[in-house]
Amino acid sequence: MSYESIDPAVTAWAAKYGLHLYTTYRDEEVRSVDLVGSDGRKCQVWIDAPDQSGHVQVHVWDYKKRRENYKTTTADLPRALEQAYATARKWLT
Amino acid sequence: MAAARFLIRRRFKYLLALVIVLSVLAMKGNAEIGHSSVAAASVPAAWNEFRATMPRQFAADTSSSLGQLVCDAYYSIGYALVYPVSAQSAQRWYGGSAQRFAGAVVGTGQMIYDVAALASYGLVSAVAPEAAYNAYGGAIERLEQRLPVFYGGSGQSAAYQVTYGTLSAATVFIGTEFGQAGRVGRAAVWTTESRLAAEVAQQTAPITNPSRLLTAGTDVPNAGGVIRSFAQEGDQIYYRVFSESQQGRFLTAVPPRSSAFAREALALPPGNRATFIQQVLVPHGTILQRSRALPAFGARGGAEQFELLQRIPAENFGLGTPLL
Repeated sequence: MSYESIDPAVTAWAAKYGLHLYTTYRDEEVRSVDLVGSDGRKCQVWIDAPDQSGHVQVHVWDYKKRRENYKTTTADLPRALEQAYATARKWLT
Repeated sequence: MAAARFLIRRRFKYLLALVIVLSVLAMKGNAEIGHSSVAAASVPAAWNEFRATMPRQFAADTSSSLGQLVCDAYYSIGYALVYPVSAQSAQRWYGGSAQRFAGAVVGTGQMIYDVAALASYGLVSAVAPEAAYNAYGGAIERLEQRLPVFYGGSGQSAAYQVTYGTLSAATVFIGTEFGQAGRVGRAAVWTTESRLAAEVAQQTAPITNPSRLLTAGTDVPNAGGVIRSFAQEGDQIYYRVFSESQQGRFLTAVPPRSSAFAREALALPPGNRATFIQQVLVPHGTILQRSRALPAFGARGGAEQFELLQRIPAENFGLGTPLL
């Protein structure tokens, strides 16, 4: 599993919205950002490493019950990231 | 009305007398404590010192807490009377006392709730451990933080803990632990905590590694609850779940009962499916950090975890066996 092929898209997306990109978690490589609302509520968006056929999953959850997954391809990842961002923003407002 | 006033005055008198008696005991105790040696290197020496100083120290803490409480209650009345006329003056003259008194009332209520929650946790956890933790985990965490002060800390001998706990329980509402429960008489609590911390510090090496309390900028935060660093006493077997890497820093003290439970309770990263479990031999003296897993990656976390803050030999990681 490597994030190499999707890193340019992920870092560009994070930079566009000023999001801090976490890259490690419990000894494993990950790609994750936290969105924080004005009242302190949080949402996490994370991206799985692409599988062998180039499919990628983007996940968003509100640290409680709401969760959505977006299945996409490496080429179409930017659109899925935008969707995930919009969902998180919606939950936080 | 007059009778009520008489009763209050009588009770206040008794209260005042008790404070004075305890204060005299405390002053006597402090004078003697001042001459005693604090270099408690061995357990018998620490026990003898504890036996000699504890009752007086306890009286000192009790009188200090009680005196503070009486003052705060008295000034809170002043605060209530002055506030309608001038909120600013009330805040300036009595604000601190009123705040402490309110903290005492709220804190005591919370302590009572937490103890009740502990009982509920005991009942529910037998049939639904996860639900029990979700419902009462916060209360357990709070008790976990407070109880060491109540019984003297797990670093002490059993006799020490039993005696300390008994004395604490005997005066739970008027002594040091009232301060702990209600955040009253913080100075007295700090005195007790500082004394215990000093004793513990003499028996253990400096163990806290602040750099690990906050994760590095690229790490997703993983540690919640009571975060505590300690040196492993004696060799100890811990457990680790994994699906690829045979070595890692995150361990548990008890083996997770299933792969799904491990993923949920430890909030494992997507790459770790917890398909294997291994035993890890942590040698004596290894520095570990204890915490509870924070929610992450769609999992609720909450399980107790131990992070190795030092490298251990590769051969200490046992062979993995499948975890269903």
